[in-house]
Amino acid sequence: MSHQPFENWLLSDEKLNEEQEKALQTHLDECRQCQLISHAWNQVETLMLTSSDPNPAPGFGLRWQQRLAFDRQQRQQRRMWFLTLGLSALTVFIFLGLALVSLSSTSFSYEISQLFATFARTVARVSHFWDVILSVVKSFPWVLPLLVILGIGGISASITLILTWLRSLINFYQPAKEGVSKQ
Amino acid sequence: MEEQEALWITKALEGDDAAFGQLVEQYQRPVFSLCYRMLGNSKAAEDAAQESFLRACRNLKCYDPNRSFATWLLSIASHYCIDQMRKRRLDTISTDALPPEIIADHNAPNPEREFRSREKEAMIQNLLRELKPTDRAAIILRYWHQYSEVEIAEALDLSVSAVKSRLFRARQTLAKDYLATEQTSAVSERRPDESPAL
Repeated sequence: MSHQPFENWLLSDEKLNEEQEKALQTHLDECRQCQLISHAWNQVETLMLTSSDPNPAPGFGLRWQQRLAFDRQQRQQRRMWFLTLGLSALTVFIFLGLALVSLSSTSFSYEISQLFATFARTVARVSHFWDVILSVVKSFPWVLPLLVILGIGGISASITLILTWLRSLINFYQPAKEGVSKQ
Repeated sequence: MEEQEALWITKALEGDDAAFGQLVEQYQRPVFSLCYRMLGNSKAAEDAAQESFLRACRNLKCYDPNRSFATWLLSIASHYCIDQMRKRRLDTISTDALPPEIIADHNAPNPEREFRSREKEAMIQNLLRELKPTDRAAIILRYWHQYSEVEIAEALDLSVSAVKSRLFRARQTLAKDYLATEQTSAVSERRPDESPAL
């Protein structure tokens, strides 16, 4: 005996018209297998529709807040790890590169002597610049306040730049915006 | 309520944890219920529900305000539970855990009713565990959350016709398993010294 379309009608949400209802009932009166399916499905449906909703244990919201905080901490630590690893890798890469360049071009002792020579030249230039400033101040004393203002301005600008850089670093290490608790 | 919910979502998007906490309070029951029906035990359900809220919080900027927030949230929970079931091949309920689950609490006001209720609960979970993860999610959304086929399709990223065929297949499996369970319990209820002919 064919059980189609009766099994489909029994097990779908489809609304049956009067004729289909009649045909289904006639089939159910004759077919034991479809009767069993119909009975079983009705029982299961009743079971599901009458069962109560399980509730979470009290304090779910609090436990969620704790989990959120823990998750953010973990993400921040992961970010720190990646940054540290990245910087270490970069440093090693730069040193290895420099070493390779030194070894391939000239001798290492020559490179070191060049480094010292550059440092000595820079010190000599700074010393010479300082002597020039002193002689200018001696010759034209009215320039002194102007130099002081320029100096203070330069130092302030440098400090501001360093502070901005530090702030950006701190922001980078802090958790994302969602991590800012407003409680 | 919808206005309040929209306000909480806006505030949560601005980084207000307390506002998202309100959403957690609002939806903890449906999300936990879905996870419990999917995974079959309270501990796994708690973990899955917490993780679903965490994912929702992280991806809140991806939420489309034109969609229902509940559907979006249940979609995250369903996908997470389906993944968990596939990963761990987690049984909805451990067979070893069954006896204590259905032992009546004699301190309860009505131990017999309590026993029946637990028995019914265990039976539902046993039936659900026979379904494939996505079919199970479709049945749970249909019967415990009263979702239409369109809403189920939206929540599970399926076409409506796929949802229809999955629901049909799931109902067929549930009905057949129920019949098998009924027959098994009828046989086991017979006394050991009873003649099989009686």
